[in-house]
Amino acid sequence: MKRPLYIISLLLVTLAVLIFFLSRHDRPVDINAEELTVHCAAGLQRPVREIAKLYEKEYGTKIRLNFAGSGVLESQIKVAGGDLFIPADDSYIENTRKEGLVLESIAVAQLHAVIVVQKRNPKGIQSMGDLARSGTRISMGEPTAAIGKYVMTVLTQSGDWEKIKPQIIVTKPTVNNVVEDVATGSVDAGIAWDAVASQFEDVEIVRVPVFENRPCRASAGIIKGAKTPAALHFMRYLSAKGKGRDVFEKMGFAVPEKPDEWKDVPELTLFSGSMLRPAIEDRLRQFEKREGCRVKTVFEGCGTLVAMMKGGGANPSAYFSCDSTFLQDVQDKFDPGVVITSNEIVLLVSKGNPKGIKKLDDLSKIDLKVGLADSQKSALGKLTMQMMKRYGIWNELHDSGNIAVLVSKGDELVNQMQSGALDAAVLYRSNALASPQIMADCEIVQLGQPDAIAIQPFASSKDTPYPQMVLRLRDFITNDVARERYEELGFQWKKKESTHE
Amino acid sequence: MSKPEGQSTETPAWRMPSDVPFFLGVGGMAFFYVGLIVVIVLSNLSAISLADISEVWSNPDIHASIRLTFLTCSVTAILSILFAVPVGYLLSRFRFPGRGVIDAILDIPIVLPPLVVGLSLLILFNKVSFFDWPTLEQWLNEHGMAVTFAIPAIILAQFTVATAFAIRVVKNTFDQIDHRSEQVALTLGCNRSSAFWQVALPQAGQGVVAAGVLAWARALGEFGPILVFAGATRGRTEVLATSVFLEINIGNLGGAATISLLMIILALVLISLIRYLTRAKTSLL
Repeated sequence: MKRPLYIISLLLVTLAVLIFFLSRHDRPVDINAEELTVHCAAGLQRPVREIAKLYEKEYGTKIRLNFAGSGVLESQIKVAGGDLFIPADDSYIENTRKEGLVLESIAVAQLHAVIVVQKRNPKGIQSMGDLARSGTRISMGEPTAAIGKYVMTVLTQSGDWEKIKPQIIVTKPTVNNVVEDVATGSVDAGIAWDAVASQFEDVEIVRVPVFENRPCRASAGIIKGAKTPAALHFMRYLSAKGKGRDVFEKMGFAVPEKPDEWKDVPELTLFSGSMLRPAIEDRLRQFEKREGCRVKTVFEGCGTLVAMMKGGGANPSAYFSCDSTFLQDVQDKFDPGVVITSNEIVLLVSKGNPKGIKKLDDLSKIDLKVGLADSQKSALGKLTMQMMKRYGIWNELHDSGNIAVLVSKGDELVNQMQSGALDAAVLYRSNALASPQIMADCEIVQLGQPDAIAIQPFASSKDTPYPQMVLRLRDFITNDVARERYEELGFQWKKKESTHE
Repeated sequence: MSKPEGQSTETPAWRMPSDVPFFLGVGGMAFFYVGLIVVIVLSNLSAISLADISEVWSNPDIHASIRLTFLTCSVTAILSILFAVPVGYLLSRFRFPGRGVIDAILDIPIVLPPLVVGLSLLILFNKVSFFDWPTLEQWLNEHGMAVTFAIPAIILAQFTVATAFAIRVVKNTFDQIDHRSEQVALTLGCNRSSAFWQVALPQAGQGVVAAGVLAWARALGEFGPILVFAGATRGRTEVLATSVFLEINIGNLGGAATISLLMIILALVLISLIRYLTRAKTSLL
């Protein structure tokens, strides 16, 4: 009985060794840096301090916190840089983004401005009107603090600013100092963020409509030149469910909708029409590296992808479809989607066009070997058939016996054209431009028909655990840097100027 | 082979004058088929330029792909042997109700279109659920594991198909071994288990190795189910068969041909190596 045991253990040990090596096949994602510098609005000091402490304990990364008014921070990062910028109001993120100083961002909390008064409200302040009474002593945030800028903007618009301005006896660099003034009794009232004021014992809050209707959003943004992926890792931590988000909530901050779940190295699954692969693949790798995440990809004909989702129950985080009609088939799983590009359908013929094929009609006239995409399996096939039916040439071509092959994806047609098996193929311009070698053997005949076009929308899944990350993925593979590659490949750019909601 | 001399026409019983037509026929058929294979390989070679080779050689994704291919195929081959030996033995030695049905079921992975294998696995893990229970994949994910679009999916897809082939080989091997020696062993006091381990299996050594090699080679060529069930993430769930697909996909025929050549060499070297190593030592089993 010794020998069989020996053989079996040998097999099992080999198996274990192989599996050990397999488990290390995925490149480890190195997320942690030694130290991150975070520039944070003073009003967010308590939650961010606590989150940083939790994070340091969990990951051993030192978080250097710098607190000041948002405007002061803005000038500091311009000079000194850093990793993360967390102003109390989104407008700072937008400004710095326009200047190219800040890249990705994520909402961490919502802030409402309120009137802060002393305990039991001895002056009976209930409205903006009461603040405007002469003799009321008001402390106000300086315009370099988010609260000061916000209050001035909102009240100027509402016309209250001129009325309360005479009552302002002091301005302070941060929102915390404003509340302190009220708490110590040195002023009668101040205007501060609700979550900040509620952290003090000796003050009361009066909510007024003019502020309630205009909440501010505090966002964390990645500073240009930040250490990635460590900075993005901490940014995700700040806003993730069960991590930073819970701390903000516990401390009385309103928190944004649709947060991401927390995972050290999240995994996204992207289903994408195979025609888009040359345009996005490199960019996906860069995204993974920058975010410290993994993106699993399935590139296939869109008919197959839809079958995998509908019949196979596959649940990708996002679907970059070859044509909007295929997104409609699985629309219940996805948000409406954003149109990124369009791709023109063209005729590919051998170099020099020896058969003289000028338009679709020619395909059925002479004895030709024509390659088309299958209408069941791909967007290209579906669109080709619809187009030919509309021009009344489908039946003619069908009866001519010229259709030599029906393939599931346009790129297969390219290979058949290159190998000389076909005289002509109907495919996307991007199929033909995918590699320079193709254009050495073949040439494109434009159909010049405005409806010979496929439209590529990108849609995020409704139930992905990482909705924010999927949005960042979309932006990353469709921003102006990425755009160039699409256009090289013959896609037309359709994405509207990116809007950061 | 030479023409018989003398008065062959005068022999009373007519006999075939020569073996030449026979050898011509047999040799011709062999020449045609072997020639076909050689021509295929050569035309594959003709698509390759030096630039392609250096490009493939310096591509880290291809390195990862080679590594993953080697590892997954080997895991699959070992798993296939572990399953194929008992199943093959069972089918070869015993007659029991439902045996024919099982035999037929074991043919399914062989005849099923590869893509369907992948889609079926996808459905099994992601769609099938009873009552309100989570699907298999959801359950796995909750416990920190993943199969779909990950490496286990590659192995499972390869295993599903390769094992069916391995079972066929093992079963044929046992069929050809006279089972009388086992019965003798039984009468001499062996139980079923030791008769299997000490009598049947040692004689089947060559066949088991052949089954493993076949499983390895099948796994190497497996592609359709992997594409659907494991995805084609560059450098991650990319095996050599996927690499070929991905290169063809962007019109890089040279790259695809280079990787194909690599697969041919890899398969030939490995199979010859195993054959060589086991030829002397199969008595060890």
